[in-house]
Amino acid sequence: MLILTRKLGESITIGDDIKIQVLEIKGKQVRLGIQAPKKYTIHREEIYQRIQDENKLAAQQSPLSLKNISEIWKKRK
Amino acid sequence: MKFETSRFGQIEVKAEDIFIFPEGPLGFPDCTRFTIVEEEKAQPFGMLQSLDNPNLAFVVVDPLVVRADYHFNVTKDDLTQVKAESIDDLMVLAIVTMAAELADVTVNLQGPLVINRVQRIGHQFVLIDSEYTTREALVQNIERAGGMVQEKTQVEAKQKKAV
Repeated sequence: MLILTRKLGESITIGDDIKIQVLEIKGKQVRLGIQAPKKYTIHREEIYQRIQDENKLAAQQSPLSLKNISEIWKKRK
Repeated sequence: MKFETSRFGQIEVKAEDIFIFPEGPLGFPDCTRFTIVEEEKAQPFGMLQSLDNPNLAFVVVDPLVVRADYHFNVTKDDLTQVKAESIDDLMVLAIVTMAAELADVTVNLQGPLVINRVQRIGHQFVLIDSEYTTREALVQNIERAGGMVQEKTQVEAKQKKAV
């Protein structure tokens, strides 16, 4: 991993088209401004990670059958 | 085409029933081909079966079954991601996480699967700053929704401001 030290207001650039600027430093929080072409999706890592973890959990086989949960819905109808 | 699956045995899938997720669902980048297996007894739930990994299948449901007012914004770039021209081309599915007890079954409303049903291309969206979480209780929400199922997921084609 490349590690750089930046001061408030300073930026780093990645390639020709991505710029990340330190906008604010408050205690343990850092606000970053990101300029990047729209083709890049930018996520907060924890949300991305949470969905990935949930997918892995959802992919496991379950003792409950679809018929079980389907009945709940049919009762409500 | 014939595919082996661990849950349904060998299944015959027509080319027009194959959905391509070019990046795979998050965490499954190698699983790009899926089909939806629907069984009468399981309605309104279906299985999104991987055609690349016989063991991989997700329980999926129309999010409107869980939340009658489910909605999120879709930008033009989002449409491009699934090569869709209009939101009318889109189908939205939510992944269900099963559990040992019915009360613990949850639905992921923050990471919906958005599928262009015309081109059959799918992508898992990540809703940022969303009111929905990855773990919405299924049973409680179904009971609250009271079976008010609208015909189509409300998606708004609003231009999202750049972060």
